[in-house]
Amino acid sequence: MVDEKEKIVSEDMGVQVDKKEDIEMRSFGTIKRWATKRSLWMVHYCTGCGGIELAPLMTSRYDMERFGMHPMVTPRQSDLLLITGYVNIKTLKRIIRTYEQMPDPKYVVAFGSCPINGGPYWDSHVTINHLDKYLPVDIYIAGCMPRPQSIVKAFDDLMDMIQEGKADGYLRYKKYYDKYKANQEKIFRKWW
Amino acid sequence: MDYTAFIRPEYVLMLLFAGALITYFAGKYSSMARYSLSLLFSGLALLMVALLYGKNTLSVWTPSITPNGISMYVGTNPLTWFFAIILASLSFLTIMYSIPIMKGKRMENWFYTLTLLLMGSMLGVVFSSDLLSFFIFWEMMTLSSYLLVTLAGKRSDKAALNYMILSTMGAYSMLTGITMLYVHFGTTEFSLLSAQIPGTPVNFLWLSLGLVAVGFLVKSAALPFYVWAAPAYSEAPDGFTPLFSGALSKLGAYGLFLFMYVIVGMSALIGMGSFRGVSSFGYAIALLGSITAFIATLYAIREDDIKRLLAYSSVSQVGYILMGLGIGTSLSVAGSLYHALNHALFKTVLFMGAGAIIQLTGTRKMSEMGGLATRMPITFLTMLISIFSLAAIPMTSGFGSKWLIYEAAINKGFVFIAPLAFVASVGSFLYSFRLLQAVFLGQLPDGLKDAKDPSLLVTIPMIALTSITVLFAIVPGVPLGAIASAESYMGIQPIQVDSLFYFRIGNSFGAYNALVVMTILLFAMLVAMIMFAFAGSKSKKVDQHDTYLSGEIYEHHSDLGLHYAANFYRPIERMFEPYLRLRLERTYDAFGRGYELLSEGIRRVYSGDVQTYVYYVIGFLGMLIILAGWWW
Amino acid sequence: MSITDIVAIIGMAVFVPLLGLLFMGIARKITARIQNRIGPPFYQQYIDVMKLFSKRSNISHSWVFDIGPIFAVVGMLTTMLFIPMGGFQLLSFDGDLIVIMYLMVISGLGIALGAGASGNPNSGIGVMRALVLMMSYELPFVLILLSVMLYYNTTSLAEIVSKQADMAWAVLALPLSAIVADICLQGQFGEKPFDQPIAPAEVATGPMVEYGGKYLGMLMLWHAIAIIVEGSLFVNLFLGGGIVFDPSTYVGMALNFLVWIGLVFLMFFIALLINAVMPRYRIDQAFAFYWKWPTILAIIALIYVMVVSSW
Repeated sequence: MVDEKEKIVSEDMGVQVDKKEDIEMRSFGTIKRWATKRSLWMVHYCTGCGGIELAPLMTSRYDMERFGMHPMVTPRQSDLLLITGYVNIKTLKRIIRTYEQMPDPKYVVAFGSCPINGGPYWDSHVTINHLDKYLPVDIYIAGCMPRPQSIVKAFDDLMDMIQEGKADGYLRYKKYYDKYKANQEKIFRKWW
Repeated sequence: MDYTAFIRPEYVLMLLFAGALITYFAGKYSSMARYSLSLLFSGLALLMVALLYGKNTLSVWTPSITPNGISMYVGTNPLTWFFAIILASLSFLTIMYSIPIMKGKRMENWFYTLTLLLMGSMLGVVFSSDLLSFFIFWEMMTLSSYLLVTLAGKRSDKAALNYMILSTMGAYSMLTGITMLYVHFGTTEFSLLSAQIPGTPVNFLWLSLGLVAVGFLVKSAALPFYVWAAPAYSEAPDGFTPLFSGALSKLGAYGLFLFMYVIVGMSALIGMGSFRGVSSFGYAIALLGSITAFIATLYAIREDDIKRLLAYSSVSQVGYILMGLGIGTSLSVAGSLYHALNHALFKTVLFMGAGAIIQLTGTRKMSEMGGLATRMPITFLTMLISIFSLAAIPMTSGFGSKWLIYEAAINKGFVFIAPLAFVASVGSFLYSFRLLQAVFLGQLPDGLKDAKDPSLLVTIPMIALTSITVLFAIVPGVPLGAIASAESYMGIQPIQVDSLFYFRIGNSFGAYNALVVMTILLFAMLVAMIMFAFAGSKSKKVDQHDTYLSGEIYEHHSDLGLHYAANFYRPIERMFEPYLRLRLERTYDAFGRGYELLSEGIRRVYSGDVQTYVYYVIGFLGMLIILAGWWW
Repeated sequence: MSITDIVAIIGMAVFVPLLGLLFMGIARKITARIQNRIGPPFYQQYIDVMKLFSKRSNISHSWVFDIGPIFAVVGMLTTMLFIPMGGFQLLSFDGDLIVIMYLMVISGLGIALGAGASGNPNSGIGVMRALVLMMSYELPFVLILLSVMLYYNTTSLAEIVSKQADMAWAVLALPLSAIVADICLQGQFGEKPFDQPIAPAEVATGPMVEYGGKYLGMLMLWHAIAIIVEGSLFVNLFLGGGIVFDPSTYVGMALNFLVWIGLVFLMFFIALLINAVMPRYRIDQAFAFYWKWPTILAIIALIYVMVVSSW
């Protein structure tokens, strides 16, 4: 059972980044990049306390729909994975599953200090301290919790990065897929 | 040698009856002989029926069997031919399909014998040109189909008995009507009868036609009598159901056409009373048909059993045929005949596919199947197109007929029939999608991983019938040409079919141009395909379990299953349930129980004790004496 | 069929999706303003479609899954060409109302097929809800169609439009029918309180749950055409097809077309305002609602038409 699933997952995502992809990345096209940055649909994985910060972001105070951002319910339709708060081993499996179901190009924004270094839960036996070891993160937002203003700033930065072609987390994930996988398997006793 | 002398209806019937006998004895020794002989006889009969096209014959085929000169007549005419070709081709294809499906089943040899017998008697019903032979063939057909239902073994006994009891009831009613006609007119031959009809008392016509119609309504499973249909269709052997639903259910409609329009005739029918230019008798039939279509659709929506679902759907579609038949205008009769053809085409394919799937999965519960579309592409595509035809999607032939019936109903301003028919048609999307979703889409169970399309003998009939469905969608003029001549035979103004453009059907009220619709559909298909193929990047194929489950991992919940098929329409069922609980079956059951109680009471009178009988005699004598004393 | 007809057909096939996307963009803006937000720019929907088509990876479950968006676009494009659009009567003389009703179903069945093939339970539930919703609003809608068809004594949509130009608009002649048809239009648009099929918070956009990238882009185009087609059906039935100026001159034709766009948008706008302030019915509540009040009103409207026309 385990072997079969690994095969499916690697068929899904685990292609090595070759030269052609790199060229495509550079020639992604200004218009396409512009469209991508102006229409970031996000699926938010509210694992911890961060979810509450999203409400003012979506409603009339900060209104992120101004930038074409919109919460989406399924990863198949989303471009942006928002991880708000601490990540424990159990939820990490779900996050990886969700991430791998998203279509390219996709971006990850890690939210708060917990995904950066574990935050207050740094010594817990069930949370992970560095999200970047398991998933490629494009932007971190520091703070516990970050204010909505800083989230808006982060999205703004992400948009600039997309326009410049610097937000290449999904390409990193493909390129170093075996290393990410090894890290993930190290903490999961059983993969699926 | 001049073979055309043998192309006569009586030879078709003799060939089939002899064929049934030969197949039985040959089949006892070799299964190969059984298959090839039954295919040969039915194929030959089909060929002969096809060659009968355009002929008008009438002949006595038995010597006078009673002293006062009643003979049996057979003949062909456009109406007869239209039904005969449907019945014959379906029988041939069903026999072909049954070879792998019925292999090794219970009483296999009898199956082929009875199917040939049934084919012969069905053709006999349509070819017969007098009341006596009509009734004899009708009963032969009922009996052989009853025996075919019982072949499935013990579990089909009750269903077969239901079918038989209701059929017998209908047959007695029909016999009464036929006898009345014979006694009144002194002849059994149809054309002699119809010549004498004008000037007959209206009450007599209502009574005799009503009695005869009961028999036909039972066979076409219309409203008060539909209770036999679902169990009988679903419990019958898989090889027989396509024929049962596709061909046999049309004969009720044929009988009504025959008695209403050929024998009684349009003017006498109008003379019996009319409602907005439509005969009251016809209107009653149409009303029954529309209510049947609606109610059977509601029942079909609730079914999880694939054959029961299709059975209720069959009842509902025959309701449409009755609807068009009853309204009796040029458009509606054309629609009715066309729908009979379409229903024969698509329902046969659906039951064939269902039979193949049942054989593969070993269950009739749809919620236990799933995801078979990629494993059985031919079955899926043929059934999909048939379902489109059932749901009257304009890419298929099924649209033309329903459109004609709606146009006729709206044209006459029947505000009760038209909406019922339309809502029933929307309901048919619901149940046909349930079939698609539960059987072909969704998650493939582990047990069906290596499912494959059935053998060629099963797929060839399905492909043949489906391609006719698609072909007639583009050229509805071809079947409508045959229908127009049948209409003019029945004395109804034939539907306009342009000989140059076979594509446009319609009248001043509205029009439907099949060629334009198909062209635009193909054009749009081209646009969409180009858009799909060239826009964006190529898509990657993913596993069926790699699906969005809120990030949840399938293997943790694999025992729960992801296939959403059981209780599919629960919310809507909940709304209908209080009303559907008033099932007609209960009424029949209550009637049966009451009858049993009554019989039990009468039985108790005969106690078997001599003393009681003596008391009866004394009591009776005493009563006589009292009566005598009172008299004087 | 002349060359100008073909040019017109292709032109409409390009124009209508763009118009629908514009409507959807304006709709988002209006909803945002109602909620006291600024909202996305009115061209946001174009950006979304562009982004969806420029996605670098797409997934497919099987070839049946691919049928979904293709059939959706096919069905709606075909339906569109049979509907009179503000004086543009491309093929509408062959377009019978019943033909149009059934052509509209093709796209729905296509999406249902594709959604079912994704094997996701949410999409199955979504399709079930969509079909039940269709059965719900179809009963009053058919009664209304019947009342219009009996009133104008034709089943051809083009005929109904031209007869309204001679007589009064049907919204004045048959006001009750128009009200019921608008209630049904809310369900056809799939706006709240009748957005059970996609209900993001319950069934994760229902049939679309597994569709992303270019598949979703095509479904968005389908939705854009569907808005115009459904709105246009109402406009043709009750608002005279938007024909107010003399259609024989070019200026009149252009003005008629603009009026038609305005009227379709008006119908969409009404649906939008209801959408912005309403919660969602449960699917069985929606069913019970449609088969109760709109149906009763529709029957009254039908009786009214029968009385008037036999008069």
